[in-house]
Amino acid sequence: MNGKSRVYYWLALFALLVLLAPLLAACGGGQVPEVGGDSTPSTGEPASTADEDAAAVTTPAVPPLAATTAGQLKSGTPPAAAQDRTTATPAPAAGDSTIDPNKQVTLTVWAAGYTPSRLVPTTAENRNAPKIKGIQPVVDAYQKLHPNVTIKLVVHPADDEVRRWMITQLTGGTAPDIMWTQPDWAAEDYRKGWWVPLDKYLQQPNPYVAEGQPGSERWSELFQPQINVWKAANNSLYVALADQVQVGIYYNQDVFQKAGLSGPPSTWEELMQAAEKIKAAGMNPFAVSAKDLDMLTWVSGWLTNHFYYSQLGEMDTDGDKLLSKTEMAKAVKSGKYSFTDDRNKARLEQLKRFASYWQRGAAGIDTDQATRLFVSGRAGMMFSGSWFYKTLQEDPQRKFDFGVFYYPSVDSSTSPLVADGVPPTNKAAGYGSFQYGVTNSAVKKGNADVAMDFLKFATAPKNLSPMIAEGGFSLPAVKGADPVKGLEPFEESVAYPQGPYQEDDSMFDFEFAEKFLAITSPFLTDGQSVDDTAQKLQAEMEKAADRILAGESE
Amino acid sequence: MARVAVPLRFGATLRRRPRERRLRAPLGVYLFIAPSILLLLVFSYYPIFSAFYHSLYAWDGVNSRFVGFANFAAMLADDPLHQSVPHVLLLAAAAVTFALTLPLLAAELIFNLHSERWRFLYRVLFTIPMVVPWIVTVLVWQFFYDPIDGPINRVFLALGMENFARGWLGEPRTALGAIALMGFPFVAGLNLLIYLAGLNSISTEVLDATKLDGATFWQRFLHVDIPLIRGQIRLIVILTTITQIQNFAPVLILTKGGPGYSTMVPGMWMYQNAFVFGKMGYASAIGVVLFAVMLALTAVNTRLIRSGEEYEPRR
Repeated sequence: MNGKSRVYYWLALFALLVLLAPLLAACGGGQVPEVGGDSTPSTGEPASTADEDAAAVTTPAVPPLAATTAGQLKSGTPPAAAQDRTTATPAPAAGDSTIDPNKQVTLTVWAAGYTPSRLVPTTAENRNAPKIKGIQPVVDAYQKLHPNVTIKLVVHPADDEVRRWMITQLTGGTAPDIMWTQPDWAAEDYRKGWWVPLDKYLQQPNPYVAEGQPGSERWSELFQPQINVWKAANNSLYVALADQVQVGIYYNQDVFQKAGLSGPPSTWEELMQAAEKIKAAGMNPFAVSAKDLDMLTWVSGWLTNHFYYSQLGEMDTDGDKLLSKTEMAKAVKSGKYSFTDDRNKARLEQLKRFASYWQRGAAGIDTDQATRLFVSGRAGMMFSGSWFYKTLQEDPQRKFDFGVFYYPSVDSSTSPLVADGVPPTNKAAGYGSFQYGVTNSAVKKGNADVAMDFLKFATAPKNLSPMIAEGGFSLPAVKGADPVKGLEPFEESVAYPQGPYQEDDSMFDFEFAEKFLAITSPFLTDGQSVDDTAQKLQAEMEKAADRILAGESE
Repeated sequence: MARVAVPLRFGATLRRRPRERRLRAPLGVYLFIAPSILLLLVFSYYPIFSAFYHSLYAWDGVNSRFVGFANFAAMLADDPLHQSVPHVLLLAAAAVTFALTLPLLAAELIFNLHSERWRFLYRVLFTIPMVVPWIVTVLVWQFFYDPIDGPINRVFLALGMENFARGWLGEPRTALGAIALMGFPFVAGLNLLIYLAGLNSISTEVLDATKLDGATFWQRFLHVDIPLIRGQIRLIVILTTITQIQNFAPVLILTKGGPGYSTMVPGMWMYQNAFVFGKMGYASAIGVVLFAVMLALTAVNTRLIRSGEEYEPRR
């Protein structure tokens, strides 16, 4: 083949690929059916399920709940099986479930943080974490009440790459029927039809809640009001949030003592001064991972809630003191919220001030590396959350006493643009381990109603409290549940109202979140100016606002 | 009478045979390779065609809408994508440079060892690292670059050269270089074996002739060895270039394209668009362009570095 004909050969091959592409692609262009629409049963199973004895234990000792007498239901008398159980088994409250007792149903559940420890392989990250039964007792109790329902627990690590796994499963329609998700992920996915809206079910009674208690009339009343923060742009809610983590600042008491600090700071200025003293004493003030968004946006979002507190009324068009994605997008388009105004520039400057106390190379290390730095006693403070408390307590590498304090308030001593007396707010307000949605797989299999019924059962305070208490990494987010022993340092902040402004990575969408990180990073760790940074962020934020508003109009 | 070489068309002989005889022999062969072909079509070719198709759609993995060439037009205004191009070129240039020098030098040194035993020993020593999964190599280098516990910074601190200690992967000015240098000294592995195979295939007559002519090591290296292993060099250039363009895994693990966009490469940007932003149509368009670029580079490489010159003794 000579040179000229070789060129023709490659060109012909390329053209052939272009021509054949639509033909072959058209062969596999099937779409996932609309949620709530007619569906056909699927034989597809999720990636992996636990072994048979893990969850698929059925005990036909009692008739299905729907067959119990009305007298038992109304008086709250538990059925025979419930009276039989051991103390470790949660109380299956009586109820008026509407699921068909004659239909055999197999539900698959990915419980993430509440997956029983014995099913989860031990890794470097979880080896010090408490061993838990997790959701298993709840599953067992539900199966006793509903012998026609078999629940299989899916095992998959809840690691950094879990979102990719979820997208693959949801796209292919092979996801578990009930699946853990971050609430903002589900809110962003709503246009894809991957998740079943809870709205209709939230208006129904929760038959597993004792009569007269919140939730017994309407399931929605069981939840804390902050659950509504996670509504999607179409005003629907897709995730049942029954527990929540809380964030805080862990501090090494030995380092504080060496730096001459008497105790935790109570304002942002005091926090920065404490960091300066630790740095002057030759130690790392903060152990931070700025390769990922979390630690960075926890702080940036806290600053937003102080710098923009007095602007809330201009943007909060429905007056609920919470800014939805749509309200933020409209505020951006009308110029009421801008990265190029003085408040946001001052906020970015404070973020840079915070970054000056990070350990070397923070933008290139991940959370595990930052955690190792703190646990080994080489940093004064670390931003983490309630999930880390027991793990740190039991870590053999820790040789120091530690304490936890909540994010200190920002006031006018930091900037004249911040009003004094901004009330403290709850930073997490929802992120937890019991945040489950019902997926398109359940719809395909006709299991959506049963899946929702299981969620109602699991969120009933009597069933939920033992599970949360055993886990010890989160606090209950339903009314009537018991507080968790050991997490007292976080309880006060959980009671605060939800902060009106979302953090920068949850304010719009994933694309803006990643671009926020990419644009601020050279500003925080290198020479990019605040004006340049603000302009780039503003340009990206306007595009994000357009995407949000376009989605809302669809 | 001089023999005249008549070019015979491929299959010309077969065509003269009866139809039954033609089909009988290959049928079983076709059956045996059919599953492989099927799997290849489903898992290798279908995604390629799907990418071509979806590059013309606004596709989020579920919903799709025909947008023509809008995805390709959007690439013209995509700043992070533009920033990623010089990065991948730099990484590819560095990788090709390293692949063409250090393993070749190591192969020459091994090839010139007099003791067969030592040759074997070194060959094995340089091959053993190939059995270590690449992810382990990346994680080991992540540890080397660790700003606090990493051995590189520890050495600087131990020598009192604290100013040289860096957050190698966490600073925009050093992150890309750190990724490019991952794997130093780049000797062990497949490239070394390919060079060694090439050198071993050089005829002993040629080597003896260079000795008789009094050629030095460098003269023989430049004028005999290099021309005769040009095929191996071409293969390594092509493989290294393609690998560097399509493989973004080290970037994903070490920096995720950051800090800022300082280590962003097109493959990583494609991945982020597909699996983080949900813009699978746009990611497909990036994939199509990468495919075309790799195809073109392969064609150019094939033309520039010809291997057809087999050794022919002068008569």
